[in-house]
Amino acid sequence: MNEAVEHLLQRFGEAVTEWTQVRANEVRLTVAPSHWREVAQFLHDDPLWQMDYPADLTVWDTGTAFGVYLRLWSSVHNTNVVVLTSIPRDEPRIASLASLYPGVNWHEREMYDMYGVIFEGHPNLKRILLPDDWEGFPFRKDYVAEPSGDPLHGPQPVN
Amino acid sequence: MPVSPEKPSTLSTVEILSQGMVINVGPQHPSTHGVLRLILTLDGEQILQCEPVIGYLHRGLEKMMERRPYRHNIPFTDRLDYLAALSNNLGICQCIERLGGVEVPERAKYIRVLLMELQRIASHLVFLGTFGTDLGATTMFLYAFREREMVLDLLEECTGARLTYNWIRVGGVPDDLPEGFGEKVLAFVKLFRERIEEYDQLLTRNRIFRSRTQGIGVLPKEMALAYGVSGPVLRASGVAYDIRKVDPYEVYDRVEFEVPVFDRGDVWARYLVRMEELRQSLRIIEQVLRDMPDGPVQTKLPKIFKPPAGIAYSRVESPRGELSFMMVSDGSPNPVRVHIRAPSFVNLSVLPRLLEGAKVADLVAILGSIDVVLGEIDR
Repeated sequence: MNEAVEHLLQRFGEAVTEWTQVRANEVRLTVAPSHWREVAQFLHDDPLWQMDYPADLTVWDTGTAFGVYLRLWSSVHNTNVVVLTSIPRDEPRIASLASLYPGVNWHEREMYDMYGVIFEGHPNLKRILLPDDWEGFPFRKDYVAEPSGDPLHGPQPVN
Repeated sequence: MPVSPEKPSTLSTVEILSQGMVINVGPQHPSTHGVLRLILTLDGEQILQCEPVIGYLHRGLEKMMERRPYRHNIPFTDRLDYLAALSNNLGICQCIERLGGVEVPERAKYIRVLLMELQRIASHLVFLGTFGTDLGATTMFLYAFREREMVLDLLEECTGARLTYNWIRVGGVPDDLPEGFGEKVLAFVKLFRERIEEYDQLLTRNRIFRSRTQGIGVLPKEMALAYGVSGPVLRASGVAYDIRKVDPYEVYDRVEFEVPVFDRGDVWARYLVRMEELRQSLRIIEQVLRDMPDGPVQTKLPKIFKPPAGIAYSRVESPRGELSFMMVSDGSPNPVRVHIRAPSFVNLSVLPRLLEGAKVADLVAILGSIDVVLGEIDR
């Protein structure tokens, strides 16, 4: 996969801040959030990559930033790539990949639902698992989960 | 909309028809196999649009897992895909093992594969039974559940539970197989081979069943890939994506089996893939029992388990497709983030495309052929 990675680095240069060969057929890339969509488009179209299968997309909260994780698979080369980036907590915006990979549509909706990350350009960014009138984003580390209050035994400890 | 002669409607016939009629299927409906709601827009018998509404079973399991030490989270995974609890147990244990660099003894790997394939048979039998019932072949339900009972008895003898097993551990399995377990499994394999022939007579060679499934709900290969569907749904559309072959785990690289792939992409093909997987599972079980070495089944781990900081993911081929766990660790006893990539969640997202232009009567067949479990969709 070295040839493919070099091709990517040639095209994007500084935007790919880090890369490691995890296994023989797997590469892990860290990219700048500004180039999220362009890198995904390149991985999708480039003949050396041909990442045509969106396997997974998720977000996590480090307490200081939101990490974004995208995993793709190529049905042509049987190779995997994990793309990571980091976006600020007070301005959680990143380009949506739903028009490129329809399969991440629901993943992005779920991450909006749980973390409040705005995927710009998403066709239908609304809550998916929680009720439409839910307030707040419960998977954030600073979300205070109120005990639901059992009428018989009083408030229960949060866990 | 009534059209009065005094005040003619400004809408043309096409526009009136194109508004369609909206009906709700579910959340409580026998053919949705759980609490799934579908908002359908109909034009007579034809479905114009479908919007799945999910989340009725949401328990916030991923958040609950962040608040517990790694190994305390295994019982939660039983409640994801409750028809294949052992696959979920294996998924989370593999992820923790990769994060912490834990080695699994050889014998434990073979036991895991044996249980995975028994679980796959049990899960596919539920599919066969409910799918047959959905299409009016009620007899199939009785046949399939008769054999599923035998698998559950075997699993109960080994794990002590019938549905929520909680039996895979980080670094192996909690105990060795019970005395004489192999012979019982082989007796079941021998019997089940004959029983699959009965299913073929009941369904595969049934003309009514064929005409209700062939050419219905066709999912083209490109669309299947772009939507990221996995498991039998993807393999019925002509993509040989089986984690057991693509990224072998445990001992799947040491056993011989075939991955059934069909190009038709319709409901019929998805049924055939699962039928063939039943036969292949039997082949795997026989080889695993033949080659299983003796030895320990559990690696000793510290009481307080702290994997190094980092990100790891695991993926296993659950009966429904690619089940992937992704974990972020910061070196503390609790995970920072646990993400579950549930195969049914992704497979369901392609349903609106499959139902576009389909007949209402085929809705049950198409939804049944995707074989979703709402427990893992809502998490």
